[in-house]
Amino acid sequence: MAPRSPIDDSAAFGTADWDGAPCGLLRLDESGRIVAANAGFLERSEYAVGDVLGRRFWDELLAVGSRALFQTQLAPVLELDGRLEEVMVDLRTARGERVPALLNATRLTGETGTSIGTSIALMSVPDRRTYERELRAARDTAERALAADARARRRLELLNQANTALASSTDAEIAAGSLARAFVAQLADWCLIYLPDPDASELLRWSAAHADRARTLLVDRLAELLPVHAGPSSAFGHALLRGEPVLLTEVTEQDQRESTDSAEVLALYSALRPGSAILVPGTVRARQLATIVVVREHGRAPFTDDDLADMTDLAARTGIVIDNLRRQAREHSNSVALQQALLTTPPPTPALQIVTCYLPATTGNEVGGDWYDAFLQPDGTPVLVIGDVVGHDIHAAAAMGQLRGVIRTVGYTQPGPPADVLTRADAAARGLGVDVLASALVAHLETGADGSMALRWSSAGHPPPILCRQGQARALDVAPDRLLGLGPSLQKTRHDHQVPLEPGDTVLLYTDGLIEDVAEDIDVGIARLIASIERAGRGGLDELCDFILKQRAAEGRDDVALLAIRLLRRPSAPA
Amino acid sequence: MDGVLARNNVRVSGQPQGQPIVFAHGYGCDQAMWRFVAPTFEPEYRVVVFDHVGFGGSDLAAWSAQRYGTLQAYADDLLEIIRELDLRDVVFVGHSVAAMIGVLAANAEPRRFAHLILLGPSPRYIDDMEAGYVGGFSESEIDELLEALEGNHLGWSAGMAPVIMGNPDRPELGRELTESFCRTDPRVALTFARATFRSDNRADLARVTVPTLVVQCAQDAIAPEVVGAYVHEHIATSELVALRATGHCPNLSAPGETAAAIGSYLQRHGAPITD
Repeated sequence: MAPRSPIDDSAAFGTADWDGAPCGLLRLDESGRIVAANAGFLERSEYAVGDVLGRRFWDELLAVGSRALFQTQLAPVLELDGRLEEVMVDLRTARGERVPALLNATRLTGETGTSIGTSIALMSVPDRRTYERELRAARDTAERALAADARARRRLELLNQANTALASSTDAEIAAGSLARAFVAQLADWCLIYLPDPDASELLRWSAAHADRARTLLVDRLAELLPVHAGPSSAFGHALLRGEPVLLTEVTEQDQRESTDSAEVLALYSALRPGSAILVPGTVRARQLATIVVVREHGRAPFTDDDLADMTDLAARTGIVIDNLRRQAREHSNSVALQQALLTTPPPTPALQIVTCYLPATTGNEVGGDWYDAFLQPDGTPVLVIGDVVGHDIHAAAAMGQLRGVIRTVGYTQPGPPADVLTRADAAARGLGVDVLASALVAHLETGADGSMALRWSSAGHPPPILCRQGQARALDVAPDRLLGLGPSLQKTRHDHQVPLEPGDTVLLYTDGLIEDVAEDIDVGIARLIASIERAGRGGLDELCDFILKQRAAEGRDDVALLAIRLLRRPSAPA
Repeated sequence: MDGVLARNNVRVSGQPQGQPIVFAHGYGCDQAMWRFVAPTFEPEYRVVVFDHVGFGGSDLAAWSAQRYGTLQAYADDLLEIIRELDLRDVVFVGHSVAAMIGVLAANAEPRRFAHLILLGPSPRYIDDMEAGYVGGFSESEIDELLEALEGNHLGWSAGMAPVIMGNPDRPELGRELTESFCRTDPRVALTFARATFRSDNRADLARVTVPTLVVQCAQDAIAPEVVGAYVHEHIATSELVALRATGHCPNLSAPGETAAAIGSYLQRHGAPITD
């Protein structure tokens, strides 16, 4: 078929409409050859009309990329759907340049439904490429921002879990265990946390976790072997021995073989399949207190530099928390040791059984300033002391030691009644600069000329003694005098109280840790103690003390000092 | 496993006992490419069409850039389909890049295949000057093609799946086409384009032992005649037939001639087995 000229087609709607259209217009025959082209097309493509008529548009007038795009993508759509809309192509101009254009095409069908050609409209869109590039750049930026956002959220979640694990533990090993589980829940398949303690000669401790709990034992065994079998030049050696952070993005079998001399370690590696790993030390004041190893299995996305930064940060926090927990534990055990050292065994006394007991607080790491004391005056009079220094730390324990010494000295040398002992001891402590507030109770066990016995005591704000006679207990409740250490402006006379005792009587002196409960009135606590004493029955004094202390052990927030005496049956008095 | 058939949107028609003929679409569309050719074979053959993963009605969730970055993955999928349907004596018809996918599959399990029909095949699209090989494109032209693909992201949904007008009595047709026909996630399209246009399967041709027909179109800008001749020359068991049809998609532009070329080749190589 001979190509028709543009003029031929223009007859249908006028030359002005065809050539004056503000776009390129083309008619192709059924084989894709150009049979008509308007002025707009010739202008955009820079061809003369004679150069384009009869040319195969899709193959000869498009740049190569668009040509392939048409053959693979556009032709099927045009064939099946009969039209193309808003397709981006590059025209190749007469000078070989590429002109971006937006193309619409409609397949023309004859009366029988067969294709008789294609009608095409082209808008040149010189800025379109810039626009698309900008859109793509915007999309890339948005995707990066999304990825960064997702990463930030993941990181926050990890920090949150790690902080919770660390904050809710009072023991370094428990903290490490919670942390290891947080890591395998958030970012790793398995995790080891070593807790080297430079201040203790103990064995190296660690916690291990695996996302698959059944495999935690394997990780634990590996943790045990690694310090012995990993070479100093291995990643493990770098992290644990030299305190250097290490990121392994790819752990090869060769790496594994070169890192150890142990066949068992290699067997564990092949079971645990390490693919990438981060090893970071938690160092505080140049002392390495933790080493964290997190591992992802082979085939999982490897750790990145960002993960290393997060883990380095977390390891540093972990080191600080471990340091604090260790120091608290050390101080607590120091305080307890100091206190125990200050509490001496009561002297053997005729006709009198004395049992003493001190229980440190069972929860928290507080230590109290509670004490008891029992000694004989030069004339053989037994002196019983119980006291409680305000405060719960090593300073309270030390102050208790001083105050106890003052009361002991005054109590030994001062022949006067307990009220005098307390008054003079208070003055002496103040004069000696023992700056402490305390409750205390001093009691003398007096023997009358007729051999009868009595308890004489004075209380500086201390809970009342309990007297138990023939299975019946009662508080020797009197108005207590002021605490020790309140100062000279509050000088007031202290009072003595007295109660006669019978053979078999039991008297309990105690500190408030035995009766106080934060939620309770002190009277309720005393009533409960009395009930507990009566429930204990008539066993020996040791059994009674054990029983009472067990009642309290469950809720022991405070420490407890307990001093119990029992008058023995009068030794066969001369008839 | 129903998974493979759903994953690749496999459709089976024709004679259940007939010799299987499997049609694989090429780059850029889906099984709709065969809608004018495949029915011709239904009276005698068991006809199988499918979509490559990422295209048409396939399970898009099964696609990953990592797996589908090479043609081998598509060949593996094809073999899974064949095994799943337990097809033997397969006549495989592959258009464009699917021709090479068929070559890879047939080299892996030649005993499954009776014939390979390669429609517009190219073992390598980029020229290899040193080897004196003409693929039709320079390196930079392939870059330009990939760029052209990227440039059409924006118009993808609008331009690639226009609403079909004028089918008031078959509205589902328009809906079906709008939803699936040639509408491909740009990432999938680009990944497949890279796998296709940067592939080099020349060495695989010599390993083909299955009887093969190379179908060459006139004026095919993607797989020019010189490339078809190269394929014919390097597959010892091959015949070459040239169509009068032009362009790269004779299955759409000249379905009758395409079907006739395939049919007459199969006739000459023995009647289909219909037991």
